Parts: sequence; structure tokens; C-alpha cells
Amino acid sequence: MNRRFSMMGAALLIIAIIYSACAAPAAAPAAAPAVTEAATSVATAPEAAPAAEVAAPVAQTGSILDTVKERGKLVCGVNNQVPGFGVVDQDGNYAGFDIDFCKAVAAAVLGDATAVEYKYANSNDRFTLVKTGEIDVLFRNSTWTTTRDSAEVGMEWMPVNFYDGQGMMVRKDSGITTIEDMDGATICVQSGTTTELNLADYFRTRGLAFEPVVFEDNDKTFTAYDEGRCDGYTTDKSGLVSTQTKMTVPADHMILAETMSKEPLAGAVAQGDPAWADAVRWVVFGLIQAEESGVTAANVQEMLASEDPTIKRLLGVEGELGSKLGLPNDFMVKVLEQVGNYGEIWNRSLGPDTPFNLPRDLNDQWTNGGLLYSPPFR
Amino acid sequence: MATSTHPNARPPFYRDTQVIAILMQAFFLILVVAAGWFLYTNMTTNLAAINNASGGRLSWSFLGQTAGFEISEGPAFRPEQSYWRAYMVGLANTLRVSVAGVILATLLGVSTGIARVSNNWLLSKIALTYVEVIRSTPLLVQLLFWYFGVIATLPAVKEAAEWPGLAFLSNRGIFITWPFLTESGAPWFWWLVGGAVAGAVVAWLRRRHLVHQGLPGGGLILGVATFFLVAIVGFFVAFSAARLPDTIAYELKRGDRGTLFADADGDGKYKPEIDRALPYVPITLLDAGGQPLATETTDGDGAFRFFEAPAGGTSLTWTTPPPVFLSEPERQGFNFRGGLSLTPEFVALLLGLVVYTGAFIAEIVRAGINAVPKGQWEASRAVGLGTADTLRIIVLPQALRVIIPPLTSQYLNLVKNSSLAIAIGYPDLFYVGRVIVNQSGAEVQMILVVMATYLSFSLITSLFMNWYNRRVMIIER
Repeated sequence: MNRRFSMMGAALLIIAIIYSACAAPAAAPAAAPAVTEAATSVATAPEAAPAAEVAAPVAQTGSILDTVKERGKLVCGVNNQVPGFGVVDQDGNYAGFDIDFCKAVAAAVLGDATAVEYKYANSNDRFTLVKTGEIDVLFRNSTWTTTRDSAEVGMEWMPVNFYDGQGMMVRKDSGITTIEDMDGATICVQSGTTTELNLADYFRTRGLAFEPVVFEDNDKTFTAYDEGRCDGYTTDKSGLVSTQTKMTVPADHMILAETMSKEPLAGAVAQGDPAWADAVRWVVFGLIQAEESGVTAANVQEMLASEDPTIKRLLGVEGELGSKLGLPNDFMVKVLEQVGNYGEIWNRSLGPDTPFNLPRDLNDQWTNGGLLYSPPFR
Repeated sequence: MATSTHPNARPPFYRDTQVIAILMQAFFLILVVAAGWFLYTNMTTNLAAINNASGGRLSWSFLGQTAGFEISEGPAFRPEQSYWRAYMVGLANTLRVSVAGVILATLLGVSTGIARVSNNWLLSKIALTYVEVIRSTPLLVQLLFWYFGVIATLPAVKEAAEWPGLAFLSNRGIFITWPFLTESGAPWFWWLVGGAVAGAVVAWLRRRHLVHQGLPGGGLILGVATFFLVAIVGFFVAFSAARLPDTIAYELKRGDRGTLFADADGDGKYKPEIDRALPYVPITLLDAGGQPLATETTDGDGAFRFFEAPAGGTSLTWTTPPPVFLSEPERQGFNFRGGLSLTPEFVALLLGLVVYTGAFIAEIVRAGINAVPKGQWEASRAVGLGTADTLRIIVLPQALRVIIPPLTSQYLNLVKNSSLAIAIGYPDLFYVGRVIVNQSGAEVQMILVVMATYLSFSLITSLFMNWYNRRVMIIER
């Protein structure tokens, strides 16, 4: 009896060891390319460290910029349920407007737009994940607000990359034409979002009543609306357009004309790390400036020979702007080659060739009457 | 060799097992305290690094801030109220689903457990299938099935299935005609409580009296009779003394909606923290000339809305409500108003939890019944008792001793599993806690609060079940 127990215990122990060993190597192969080019003493550490580093959120004393360079990979918090902004296909490949910004940052810091690990951040977790260091940067259609900028939520916000507003989707046959008709309606909304708060505010100031039905993720929210649980579904208008394509019969639904609030969507990093915040900020500005100056993925090599001083400084031909930010001086060349400028990112995910075909409107260059305005590269 | 043969002589301390035991305990205690201290200081240093703006201390002031979000069901809650109040609403929702779930799961589990050991082949096979299938599927999957699978098949609000005068069934929920206690009924509630206490005391005294006399019987009938007597007396007393508060006031918006409340500070504006809303009061809307336009009754949270009333309402009058108000649901606008409403989220969560926990309880009950010696069954048959009587009088009371401890675990599991409500949108305390974390950024504080809440639920349940266990357990020599 004793012998049987101890043999069973030994077998369980062996199984546990094998299992935990099998669970780790997902991180190890990614460290291999870094090992081959790094110095020997540094090489031994990253091999063992990445498995622990990706899993253990520790408050960083150095800048995240250094951590990312050392790790050789950017951990980017994204959405995987909003087509056009952040979505994953059946092969596990991420694509979308926000995803391209992750790629741009990776190209700038590491020289390789594919050196990204995408982590799904749901609406309740996203800021905690950034604060604890589990993700380096968040590009997840999140709105910049005072509370989220303050020490309470503790985010540092990047330049707005999408000026949006909150809208309401209803069924065409419901007879609703404006939000005023929705007095007492049931509305599906996602929890932990500015959408939830704006909905309450908007209805309250107009003296309208509503019944909320709240879920944690976008999929369940719009599925409940689609099945008839709610009369209306509210989120940012860009989210409404992209989610409409996922409905069982997209043509049955319509988006009301009213915009219920301002929703400036921007990337975010943790507060208290100015080097990292500046680096990411100027990558975003670089994308906007590149579109203003007419530098695209196709013509970036020719533009290296340009006489325009702004382009020369942007691409690192002249000046030390990249190095001052802690990035390689030609970081914008890598970014533009691998990802393209803001306009190309827009067209790839939201442009005329996609099902969304969103109008640029506020998201156009200041020279065309929009709000995109990069501070000068000098 | 100076060891004495005196029976009280003790070996030297390093060989004295008692002293060694105490020393080991002290050493272990120091170890545990040191580990706890290390973990605590580790957490505070890391927190200080993350929250260096607020000095790295845990601040609890966020609890008083305005919530800003709506909660879809539970006690009346408005977005202007605080995070703490929102959390209390979540707590009430968790209690609601947990208590109902525990009671229903016990009923289902006991019946299924008995079915499992029954001689009826079909019954026992059905019970077997139910238990095996439900135990093998994760609870989250079952919850999502109940919610999305079931509400998809229910009729839309416009074509809701109706039990005339009793209930409506639609994919927005089940709405049942239900009596509610009103303002004048509130004192009656205390009479009922008093009646229950009086009934229990009378029943206990009667039973003691009978036992002293050596007579059979119990005090149940007398106790129930006392309760009803007190209830009826209380009803009439409360009804005749019923009055609405003197400081009653109302807010009227857009000519057809607003709130009726007792204005504590006399400013005419409804402030949820200090003013008390008045539910189920019959009200009449008057126009500028004092002519009545429409009549309604205020809702459970004191709010009222006149649907399809002609425009031009400027003032309100009210009458004292009867102690109990029978609220009937009717379709107004987009939804049903009135009656007791059970939302699909609540129903799906309750069904999922009951079905899941019931399967586990069934196995525990079966184990308990099987633990009773076969001789008991044979003896009761010999005495002439049928299966049902045997179960009720002989077997189940003995089986209880084996059933209670694992049953406690299942009850605690049910309460904790109710936190999966977040997956289907039922606003329980964990869900509200998550929203508060997201809106205010106070992760550690809210996690501590949520953990403390579940811990207290579990400790209270365990305490009660252990007390009950001590009463029924086998006392051996």
C-alpha cells in the first residue's frame, strides 16, 4: 500500500515537471535570434528571462524602452473583436488600424514590424495591464479622458490617432429615428467604458430613461443586441460601423445620426516613464508628418535624397532627432518601409477598398481641414 | 543517575516532547509571520512604485465618488450615487441569486439523488445522464448556453407570451404580477417579524410543555396560528395608522415623469443620499386648471411616468396607499413596467447555477443514502413502512450526517460561482467591483473588498452549516 502510494506520487511529480517544462518554451525560441547577435554574458540572461519576464509584471526601475530593446519584442495590448481596428483571423494573425500602430512602434524601436506579441486586453483590464507592466503599450480604441490621464488610472496618453464620437445603432424596423425616441429603451453597452458613462449622462440630461444590459466584451454585447435582447447598441461610431459587418443581417440595422460625445481614441503607456512615452509619441507624430510631407512606403527610398529639410530631419538624413529619443536615427525609414504613413494605414484598414469606407472627416491632415497636426520635426 | 521515580518528574527540556512541541510551534509561527510580512512589504513597495503620485498608500476615498454608470437590476440605484452604493447593489444581487440558488439546488439535488437510488429503472437512468453530463461540462459554457441559447428562442417583446393577468414571457425577461409592501405597509412588516418571533416562542413553549407532560405532538400548529393572529391584527393597525410622510414632495420633468419622495432637507430636489423615494403611491396628474389628466402608481424606486397622458401636466396629487399593492405588468413603450421582473440574466444565471450545483449535490445525497446500512432498510420494511416513509423517517435523517459536510462545500461553491455572472451581464458584486476598478483605477483596494466579501459569505455559511452538523452528527462514546 505504501509503495503504491509513493509510486503514484512519483508519477504525478514527473508528469507535473514535464507539463511545466512544455508550457515554457513558447517564449524561448523568440529569444534565440536575440541570443545570436548579443554579447555572451547578456545572452545567457535573456534566454531564461523572457519566460519569466513576459509572465511576471514587476515595476520597472529602468525605462520600458530599454526593456523592449533587451527583450527584442514589443508586447502590445490590443482588441481582437473590432474589425478594422483590431481583429484576429483564424490563423492567429492580427490586423487592423490599431494593430498597425503597434507594428510602427516595433519597427521604430526594434527595426522589425513583426517583432510584436499581441495581448488581448478587455475593457475592464486594459489599464491595469499597462500599469503593472504586463503590456508595454496599449492601442485598443481607448478614449483619452481626464481621469484616465490622472494618477488615479495612471495612463500617459499618446497623440490622438482617431477622432471618434459615440453613436447608437438600432434596427431599421423599430421605428426609431432619433435618440429622443428611445425613452425607456433597453440598450446593450460594454462595461468599464466611457460609452457606459456617456450613455447615462446623455440620457439623464435629456430626462430620458433607459435600461442598460452590460457585458464585458464586444462580442457578447452586440450578440445580445442582435438576438433582440436590446433595442439599441451603443459604442464609438467607428466600432458601430465595423460591428455592423458582424451582425447576422447587417442591412437590418442603421446608425442614428446623433453623436453623443467626443471620443478621441489614442494609444497609452504607463505614467512615470518619460523616455518611453516620448519615443512612442514621436512615432505617432512621425506617421502623421510623413503623410503631410508626402512620404509613403513606396517612395521612402527616393525621399532619402530629398532636398526638403523637414523630410531630411524626419528620415534621419540630417540631425540627431532619433537618437535624442533613444531610437535609431533612421527609425522613420524603418517604420514607413514596413508599415507606411498614416494615410496608408487608414486606407489599409478603413479606406475605400474595405467594407467600412469611413470618410476621413476629422481624421484628415490640418491642411485638408482635419485635426491631424504634428509638431515640427526639428 | 539521579532520575527520581517520582511520577511527576519530567525529562530535561531538550528531551521533553511537550517543550519541543511548543518550541516548534513558536518557530513555525515566526516563519509564517515573517513570510506574511515579506509579502506585505513587497506589495507596498511595488504599489509605491506604481502609484508614486499618491504616495504609494492605499487610499479609500474613491468609494465616495460619483459612480456615473447605471446598474441594470437590483435595489434602486442612480448614476449620481457613490461607488460604495453601487457595490452594495452588486452585493444585494449576489445575495439574491445565491440564496435562491442554494434553496433550489438543494431541492433539485436531493430529488435527483433519491432518483438515482430508486428502483425505477427509467428514473434512475435519467438522473444518471443528467448528473454525468452536467458534471462534465464547465459551468461557464453552461451559463453561456442558457443565456444565449435560451433567450434566442424566447419571443420578442412585441409578441410576448402571456398568462392573462399573471405573467408575461419574452426575451426581455419574465414579468409576474406580484404584491409589494407600500409605505403604509412598512410598519406591517415589523408586525410580521414580531409575529414570526412570537410564533416561534409559542411553538417552543408548547413543545416544552408537551415534553414535560410526556405527551406526543409539537408546537407547530399553535405557533403558526399565533403568527397569523399577530399578522392580521398588525394589518389593521398599520392600515388605520397609515400616513405618508409630512415632507413629501415631487419632481416633475417634461410634464409626464419624475420622482415622488420625502424631502429631508426641504429643497424640492431629489437627492438619493438624503431623500427617501416613495414607492407604490397612487398619484394623479393635474393640469394647470386643476383638472385630473391621468392616474398612475409610482414604481419600486419612487419614479413615475405617465405614458400616453395628454400634454400640459403641471402638478401632482396623491393618496395614501393600502399596505399591499398588487402590481401587474403591462407593456408600455419598449418594455414591460410593473410586476416582479426576472431578467434573462438573472434567470440564466440561476438556472445554470442550480442545474450545475444540483448535479453535485445529487451525488452527495446518493453517497449519504448508500452510507446508511442495508439493515435499516430491511428492518423498516419488516415493520411495514413503504419506501417513501422509510426514506423520510429512517434513512435520510441518518444520511444527513454524511451529507452535511460536503454539502457545505457545494453551497460555498455556488456562492463563489455566482461571480461568473460577469460573463452574461448580471450585475453581481464581482462585476460591479470590476467596473469600479476600471473607472477609478483602484485595483488593489477593490480586490481586497471583493475577497473580504466572499470570505465573509463563506465563513457565515460554514458557521451555520457546522452548527447544524454538530446537531445531527453521530455521537459516539
